[in-house]
Amino acid sequence: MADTLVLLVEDNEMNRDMLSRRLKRRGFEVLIAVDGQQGVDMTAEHSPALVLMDMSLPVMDGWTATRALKDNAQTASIPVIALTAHAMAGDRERAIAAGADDYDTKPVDFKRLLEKMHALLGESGT
Amino acid sequence: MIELALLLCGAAVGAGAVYLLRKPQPMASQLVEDTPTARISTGPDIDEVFLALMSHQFRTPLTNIIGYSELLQEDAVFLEQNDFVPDLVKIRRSGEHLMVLLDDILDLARIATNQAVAEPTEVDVPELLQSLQSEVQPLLRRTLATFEVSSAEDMLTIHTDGPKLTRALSNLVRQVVALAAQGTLRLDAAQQGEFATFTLHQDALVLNKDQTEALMLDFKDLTDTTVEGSHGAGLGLVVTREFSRLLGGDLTIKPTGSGVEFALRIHASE
Repeated sequence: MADTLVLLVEDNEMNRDMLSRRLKRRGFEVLIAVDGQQGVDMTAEHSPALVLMDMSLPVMDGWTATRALKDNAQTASIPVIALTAHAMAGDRERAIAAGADDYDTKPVDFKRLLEKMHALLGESGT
Repeated sequence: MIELALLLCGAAVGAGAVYLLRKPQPMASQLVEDTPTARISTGPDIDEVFLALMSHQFRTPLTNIIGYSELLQEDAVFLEQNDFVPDLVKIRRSGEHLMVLLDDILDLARIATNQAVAEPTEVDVPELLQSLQSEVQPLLRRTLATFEVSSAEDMLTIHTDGPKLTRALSNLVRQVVALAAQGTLRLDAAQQGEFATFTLHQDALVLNKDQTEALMLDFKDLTDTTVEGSHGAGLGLVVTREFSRLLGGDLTIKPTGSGVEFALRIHASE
């Protein structure tokens, strides 16, 4: 798996567009999934270096999808950053409980998110 | 249909949430009589599901406004069109300010309608402070202020509602930074008996008696003293104070020899 391959699981088209364009500008290769089930399937298929997982997703929500990834030996070691709704108290705790390695809140502060991504990818700086 | 109703009510209900703080019942009846959104507020209170929907409906487009303004800002720099950057920064910061106001309004609406309930669990204090630092990092990055946190060595866990405490503290930091975007903010956590106190000291802030009273009693946003261009302060300290009371304590302000001290005290044991 390439260290720059990232899977973004996000159902909102504009959020996908924004984040994927900014990640590509930073040198990442970005795969897109639009619901939790697709996120689980694509993680198993492509083995990305990291998964950015929205929590409010159709078909299968982000907490369930994260738990599914962490329960699968094939995908358990792939870091997951949960993207949680800032105003919803308890979202981040639920994300960590589901097995997410880290979380960030929406709207995403891109610099902070990059720092967390690089930390999980074992790199330094942005 | 609910989306349509939310779209129609928009800012009216947002403003109404604040009004609910003081006169909940008249506001509800006014909605029934005067607006096309009456049917979603005919109950005695705005319920948690409605507030969550409101939050989502507002936050999604706001997130897009903020995100695309950041994206365009990066494009402008990349294309060496730097003249556009200041205006794009204004759009982004206005969006962020609106987001803060939205969060404050929804929190206050939850409190006013008795939807905010403390759900205490064991909370890891160093972890909470680390999370707080991460949360306010984007805000502080635009200022000259520095932020330090510390907790007593023996203060490893407390029994409280962690998310609400984090929200109260982040609101406090945001407000203080808006009042003085320089100097050192130091947050010290300590426990005495059943209570924990989170004391935020700002060494570059001077409040006179009137300003202090306004901050505490009238919930005024002291943006007159805000450094130009700093982040908006939302609805002031009212969220912090209401959450501290919800957690069994209160918020106090006192001047010190070198700045101002905000003490958030909460009940912290089972």
